[in-house]
Amino acid sequence: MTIVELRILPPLAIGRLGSSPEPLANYTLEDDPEHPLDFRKIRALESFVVDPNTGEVSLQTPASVSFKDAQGKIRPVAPFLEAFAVTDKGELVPLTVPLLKSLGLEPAAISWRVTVANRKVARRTGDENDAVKADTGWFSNHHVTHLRGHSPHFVSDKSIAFGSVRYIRPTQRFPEIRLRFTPATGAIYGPHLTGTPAAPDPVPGQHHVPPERAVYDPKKGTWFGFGVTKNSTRPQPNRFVLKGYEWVGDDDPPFVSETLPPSLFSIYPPAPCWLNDNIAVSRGYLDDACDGIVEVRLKLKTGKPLTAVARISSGPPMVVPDTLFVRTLADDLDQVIHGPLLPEGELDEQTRERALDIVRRAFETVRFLNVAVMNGNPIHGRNPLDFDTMPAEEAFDVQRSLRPIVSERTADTLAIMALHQQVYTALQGGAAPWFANLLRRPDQVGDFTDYGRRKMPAMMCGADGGYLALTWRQIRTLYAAARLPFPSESAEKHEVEGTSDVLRPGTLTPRNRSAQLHYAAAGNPLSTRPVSSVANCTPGLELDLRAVWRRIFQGIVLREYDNLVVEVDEKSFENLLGHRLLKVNDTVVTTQLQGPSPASTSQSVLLATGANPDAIAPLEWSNCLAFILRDFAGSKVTCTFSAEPSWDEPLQYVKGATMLTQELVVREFFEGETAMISRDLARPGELTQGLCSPWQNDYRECSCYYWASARPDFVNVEAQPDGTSAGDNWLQKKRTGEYVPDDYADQRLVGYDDLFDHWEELLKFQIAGRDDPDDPTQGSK
Amino acid sequence: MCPHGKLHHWNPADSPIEFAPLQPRYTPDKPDGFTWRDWLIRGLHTAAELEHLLMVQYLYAAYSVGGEQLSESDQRFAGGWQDILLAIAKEEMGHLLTVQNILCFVGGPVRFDRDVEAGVAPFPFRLEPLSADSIARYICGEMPEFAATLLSPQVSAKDLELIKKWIQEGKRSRHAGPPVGELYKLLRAILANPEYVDDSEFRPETYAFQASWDDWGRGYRPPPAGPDGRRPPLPGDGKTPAMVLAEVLIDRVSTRTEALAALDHISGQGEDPKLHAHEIYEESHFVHFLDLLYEFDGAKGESLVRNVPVDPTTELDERHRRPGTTPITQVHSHRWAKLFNLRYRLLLAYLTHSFRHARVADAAAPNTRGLLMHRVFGEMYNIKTLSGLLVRMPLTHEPGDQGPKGRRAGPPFELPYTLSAPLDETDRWKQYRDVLSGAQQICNELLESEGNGERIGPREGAAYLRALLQLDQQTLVWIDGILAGLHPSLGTRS
Repeated sequence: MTIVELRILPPLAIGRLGSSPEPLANYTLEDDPEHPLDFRKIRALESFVVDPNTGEVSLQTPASVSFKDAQGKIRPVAPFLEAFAVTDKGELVPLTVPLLKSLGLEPAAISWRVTVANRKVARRTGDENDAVKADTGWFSNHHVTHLRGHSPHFVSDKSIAFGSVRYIRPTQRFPEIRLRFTPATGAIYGPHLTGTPAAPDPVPGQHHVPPERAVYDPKKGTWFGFGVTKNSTRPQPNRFVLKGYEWVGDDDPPFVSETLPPSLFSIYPPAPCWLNDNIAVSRGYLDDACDGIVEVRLKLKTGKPLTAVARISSGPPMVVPDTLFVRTLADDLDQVIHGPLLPEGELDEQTRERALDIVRRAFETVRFLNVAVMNGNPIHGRNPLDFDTMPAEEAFDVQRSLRPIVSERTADTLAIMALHQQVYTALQGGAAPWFANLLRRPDQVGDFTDYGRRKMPAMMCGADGGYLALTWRQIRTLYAAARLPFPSESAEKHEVEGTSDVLRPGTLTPRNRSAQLHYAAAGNPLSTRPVSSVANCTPGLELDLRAVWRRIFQGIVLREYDNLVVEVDEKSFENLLGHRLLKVNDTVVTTQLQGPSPASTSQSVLLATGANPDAIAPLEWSNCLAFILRDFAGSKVTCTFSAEPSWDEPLQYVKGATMLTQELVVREFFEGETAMISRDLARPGELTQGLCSPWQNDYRECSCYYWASARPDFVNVEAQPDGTSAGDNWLQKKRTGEYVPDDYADQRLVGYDDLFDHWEELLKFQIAGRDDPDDPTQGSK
Repeated sequence: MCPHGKLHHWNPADSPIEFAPLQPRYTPDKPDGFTWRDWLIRGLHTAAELEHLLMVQYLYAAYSVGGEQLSESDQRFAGGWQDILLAIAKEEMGHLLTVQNILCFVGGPVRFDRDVEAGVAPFPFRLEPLSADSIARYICGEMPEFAATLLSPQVSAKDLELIKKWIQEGKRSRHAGPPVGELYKLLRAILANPEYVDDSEFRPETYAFQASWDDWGRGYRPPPAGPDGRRPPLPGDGKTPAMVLAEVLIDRVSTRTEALAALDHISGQGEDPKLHAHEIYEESHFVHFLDLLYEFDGAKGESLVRNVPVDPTTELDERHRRPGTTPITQVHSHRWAKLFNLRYRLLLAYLTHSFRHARVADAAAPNTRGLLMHRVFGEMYNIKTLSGLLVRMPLTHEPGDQGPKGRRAGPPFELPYTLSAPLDETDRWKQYRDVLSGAQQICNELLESEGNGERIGPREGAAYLRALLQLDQQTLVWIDGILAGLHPSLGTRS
């Protein structure tokens, strides 16, 4: 047998930050068939323990899984990545010492290299020197290799610790070739202010960056004080007087590409910025999250070395470990693999099972949503605009009055959850999904009429800032299931190559991307896998998947959330810089925002504003380009652009208008037959660059209507004597059973600086919908 | 949608059938002992009961179509008919709620019974599998009085004979009455005349308590026209025809004019002979049934219908059984059918209760009324699921009924022994507890049998029961919390 190719599995491994010296044990989620509506059960699995001295692993199976250690520190999730070999027989097998020896090789023939980066600041300032990069170089030893992130804008001897990697020493019992990535501790870094222009006076309680983490040199870079100030509509480098927050630079400041949502970074109070005329002045904080590439190399006796790559990332803990969100990264990547339609020949059983899974995740998600608040109900008589919800966002964006989404009296969490569970129960009984036509299509996310807003999923935000839609594939699954006959009594379960079930990956073969993507490496808890990551990336929690679409067309770089061409890779496309991509073949990439006509409920009107006179809204790329990617990956498409640059104003396709067309090649999404997101699509650091800096800021700032089950809102929920739901706000300091609505000023809620200082204590893991009873920090802070 | 193409008005003298206009049974006369208002309320009660009757008959017909033995294309064909019937049934639900709203407006009690006397309903109540005969009856039930002049020459003579047969039987029989539209004409005639019912009799303030489309419509209405005035395309998956969508009408009324418009709205959706409609939303029930009859004949429809009984019943004692009903005697099918009846009972109870709570609940916050509304929908989903299971279960223990061609059970839609609700709020919730506990008992019996190796029904039945048990247990805990709030000593469950 010979090796023709190497692979690393999983091709994408998610690490999670935490400062406990002991990583989280391996676990999976299981269902109890006798109690199908229960929370999924966390079951501990065999876990690897790495000997700190030798780098060898041993196995242990903990009795239970504890997410924090006895000191209240969060256990990081440190994934293993396994090397695999594609043999000349076409099999995909673990690369092991015996296999190497059969080829006359030793483990030292293996070397690894890890390059990661944190580009969050660079994404905001537009300055490449703000990218923080770490590169281990090639190594073959089994020591801990630290990932030290450097930037030209750092104080010369300073770096950010992004964690470490270790080539695990194979043993007779565990002969596989593997690497472990241990993420960082979730620390916050900041500016080195000694000898710099005066900063704003510290606010009492403001987080203090300790000297060892004061890495950023304000004399070299503009991050400290960067932001949107008075009299400027664009984010600006800090050529201004901090105390006054006034822009004193040029009349026409250079263009800097804002993120969506804007100003995703820690700012000087008052925060969030919308409490202060959208003024956002950066404190200059960075975090130790990162993402990047792991490479493995095998030097053969003859010929070129074989190499393989995979991606890693680090991000916040999975604070609700027993719940899966209704649309996950796995759904989006499965759509790329399988396309937006169902696989040919998929068995009815599998379609039905996937439909059930979607509905299951729907009621899991809704559990953590305070539906009354998220609906836009007045709370204790207060103005619903005071609270951060989708109806409020919608009202601000389109400059219209806030309207609740559904009738206020029906907007109750336990009731809505029970209804979803009833739907799930009905599907369990063979009923076809009768509600498929009530799903929101991805091209209808700008429909803000009641008809549109009440479609499902309700009350949550999509990656384009509109109401959330499922992937096309998920929607097709439910439509297809709606047309299925009743289950056949004689049907048996079959494995169909390429059809994924995220909790039970299919047969691992060199061509089965789905099985590779969902591969559960030994020792890796479920929270390392794409199914644990949200996909409605505005901007996301673990990854900002929008980033990969930026380079989907060879030669140009789009902004991750809309159709602006922000960079070009090839000189011949320079004429497209600043233009708007309007159409790809026949696919229009924008929609228009429409809302109810004041004259009639059977009509709608464009929700035009002064800033957006045509009510244009971009469509999120993942769904918008799904068919293009399926049909044209590797081929040319005709792209239609605006005739003129339009850096600030959104533009849409208008038939008959003068436009530019350009043929562009659609890049392949994955590399070869792997499920590794192509390096051509995202460099190290780009999958996380759109996320908040530091990420703790986002936990405070982004309300649960983004990722209800991943960044929960309503916890410890119980029925009150009148039957309605009562519980706590996940971020309220004292658990009283009386929900504190979040107006961002209420001191009963955890604040930004509280999180910066004590996030590990303050973020409570939720188990079965309640604060983890095993949390040693219960009752503190 | 209409396969007939354009229709032509023709001279009735050219009609291939003889047709005598029906005499409406309801005239603006009223019996002694009634005021006009009282007589109006009586009529609205009848209307509500008719809508309820029609709805369950259409539901039964819907669940009777299909079959696991059918080819994929036949499954889709039958699925299309099921969609139509379910859409019509949903719309009847809308009519039922609109009638309740009119009852609130005129100060009458709400009515969810189905106790229409002989000669009032357009045809005797009969749960039966879909057939050309039954479709013809439905046509007669929904037809406008001048329908004969609109019947296309392309409708087969055989279909016309069926329709004629039911019209003539309706004239002869004491058991069949005029089309539903006739009742609405009578109601309209009374309501339109201030000399019959004065403005002072009306209760416009009940508008806030009436059932609204916002609460009950669940998205079943056409999308609004876009800013360019065009309707968006119907949803569909690109491969199968767009699912027939119901346009549920639920009108609230606060004036005489609105009440009349609501009656017209209901009538129009039932009988409007708009056979040239371009969009599926605008076809009336009458037109849908005409199309259905045409397709049914053309497709040898009987082969696409399950072998379900007429008027299935759980009553095993012959002495107590209504004549013409078919007992479900297979022991597990019988249990499932009883479970179905309990869910139907809960649905009606929650529905009535939600109207009661309308008057005391704060509209702007989640309240018991809103939660009860959700429960109604939850029970509708149970009705759907259990119907789908029952039509695949054997009717009896006889060997011939065990195979794929054997007789099947069906959803019995039997009314509970009473629809009366306890006067006291506490007792209402205790009644729910009783019914749910009864349902749990049946679920446990079925699962125990399954555990003993018995086949209790289709394969997915057991998974459904487990989930339902858990859901009902959650509901019981919820109810106990409410009871404890009403009376501290009454909450017992944890």
